[in-house]
Amino acid sequence: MNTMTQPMHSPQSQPATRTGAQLVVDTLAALGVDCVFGYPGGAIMPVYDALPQGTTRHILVRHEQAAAFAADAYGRITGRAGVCLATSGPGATNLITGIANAYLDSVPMVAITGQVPQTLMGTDAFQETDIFGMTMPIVKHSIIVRRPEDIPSAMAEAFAIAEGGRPGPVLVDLPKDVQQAVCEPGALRRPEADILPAPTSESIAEAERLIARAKKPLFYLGGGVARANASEMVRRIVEESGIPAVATLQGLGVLPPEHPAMLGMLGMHGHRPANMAVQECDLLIVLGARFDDRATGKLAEFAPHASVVHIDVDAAELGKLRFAHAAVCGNLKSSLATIDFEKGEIDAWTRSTVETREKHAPRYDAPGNGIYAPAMLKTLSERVGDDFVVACDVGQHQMWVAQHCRFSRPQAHLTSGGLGAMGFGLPAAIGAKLAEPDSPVFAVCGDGGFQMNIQELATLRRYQIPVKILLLDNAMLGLVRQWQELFFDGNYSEVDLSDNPDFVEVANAFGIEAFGIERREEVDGAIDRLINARGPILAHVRIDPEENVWPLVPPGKSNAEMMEKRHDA
Amino acid sequence: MTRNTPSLEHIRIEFACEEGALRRTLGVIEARGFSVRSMQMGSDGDRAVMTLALAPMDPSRRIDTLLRQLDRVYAVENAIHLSNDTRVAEVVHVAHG
Repeated sequence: MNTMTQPMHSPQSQPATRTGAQLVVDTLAALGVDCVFGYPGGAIMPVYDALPQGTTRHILVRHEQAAAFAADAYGRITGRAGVCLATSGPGATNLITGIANAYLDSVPMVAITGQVPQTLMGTDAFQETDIFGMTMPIVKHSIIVRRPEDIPSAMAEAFAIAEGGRPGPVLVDLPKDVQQAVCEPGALRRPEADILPAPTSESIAEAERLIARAKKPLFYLGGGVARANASEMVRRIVEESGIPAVATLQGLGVLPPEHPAMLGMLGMHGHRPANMAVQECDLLIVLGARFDDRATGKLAEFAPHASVVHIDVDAAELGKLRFAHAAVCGNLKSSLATIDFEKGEIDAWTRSTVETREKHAPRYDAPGNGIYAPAMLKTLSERVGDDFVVACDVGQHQMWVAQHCRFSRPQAHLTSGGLGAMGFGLPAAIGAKLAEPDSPVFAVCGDGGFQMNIQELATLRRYQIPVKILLLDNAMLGLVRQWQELFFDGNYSEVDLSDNPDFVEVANAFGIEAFGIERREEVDGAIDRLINARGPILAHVRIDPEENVWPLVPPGKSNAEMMEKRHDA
Repeated sequence: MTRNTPSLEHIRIEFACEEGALRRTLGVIEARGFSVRSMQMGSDGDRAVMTLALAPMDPSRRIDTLLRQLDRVYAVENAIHLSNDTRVAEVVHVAHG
């Protein structure tokens, strides 16, 4: 990695010496970090002592996991590394779920942890954990900084790695004695961006040959499109080529659902037209996706007639799970700019996909007077329009958001895809709102996930962050209950949450405005109230505990074997 | 009863002697579905070279994918698959530093 050098301070303002902790704060400012999410403790106290002298805003969360999730959301929405800060031991280990979340969804993040003094490292000291070793499998890179004068360059390297190429989390572990030691600050050496691999002319030529001869080509859009900020380019290529498209959970929003070429989400809870198109296509053009098992179902029967053009910045994804006839390794934008999408005769194919899409459009005419969550989510996203940003937890409501909400861009859909981490929604919404203060940010939560980070209501209250919470409460761990119903003979084991607290009272106790609804005719008024609220607000929505997510591809089955909702039931 | 013995794959990895590099490299190998059957390593303090014999944990594990995953480790400078002809010479070379 090449480096560029810049002074840390102007000559007038530069003190003769700085502590390591002061250098942490100076470097955050020099790197343009405007916001960090954290929680103090013993081994990171020197940094907290220096923070008030810096320009970076600190958001005090109420649990370190929330700091990591908020930083994750900040990174997803801005493309710049979100930053979380914690002490050693339990502070650091509480970050781990959030770091893993960022790793599995390729999100830029820098996690800064305090560590016990170097002389105590390896002695089982108080609040000592080997966070450097514990996080190795879930970070893009990690660094223990051993000398204070190395802090600026180590942090600059961490940010460059986190944001470059395929993004990911980087851990910077700071022993307390390094934070306290005094040194003469040197210049900040900022690494230049990695030179990304350029696709080979052979792979481009093979991709063009496959596209030109395909009769049933299909784009398979993944989260890499958003990470490469390539949505507009992909949209233009889809429109010019007329090739239909499906998206993964992370690829939703590259094409809005009303786009004529968009067939929906593929996979376990995907849309039927999307899964059918994948099974019938003769060419998959994979953009920034990794053949995740939730997307492919039974891999051996996934897209059985298709050749594969796979474009990805990460060479290790090419051919990992599915052979690529044209493996194009490079930055997505520059790779797409190189490829001539001169298609063959595909009109019959595109007509058939449009017909399938119309035939299998979702229905919202659920019987009864209860609130049908898919309909409410669809209405909410359409009412808010292009500015709609949503962060959700994990479970049934997450799938309903993916299936029924309208996103104008993939960055507006914040969802824990690879890790599937409950508790993501509320802290992610906090991170998103701080990253994009002008966008209306909704946290759509289930009653299970919401209680995993419910303490962050205090963070909303403290900073008056106007996040709008839509809490869909079925008094169940709904997706687990659904699987127990369908695949475990109805043996409902430990999914009943009917003793949930009164969430309106809980929110009020935190100082958050809240209200509840349980009848269908109350939905429009509730959406109005959420949209028009000026501060943080919670809508508690009771829904049917027995409602399921459809369609569903049973585990281990092909995507061709979708189970559907029976409308005659 | 007979057991199917997986064929061993031999690889050579050159890496910078950064803190954690060895743990990280071996961690990738095991986490990605290979067990280490033998290993030799030499180092001059700045750079290290090791050769390994690896057994895939199931037939779906491919050595070319593992090599690309090792290439993602920042300390790794080169990771190559050794052919049957070269691997003995490599082992001897590394063992003698």
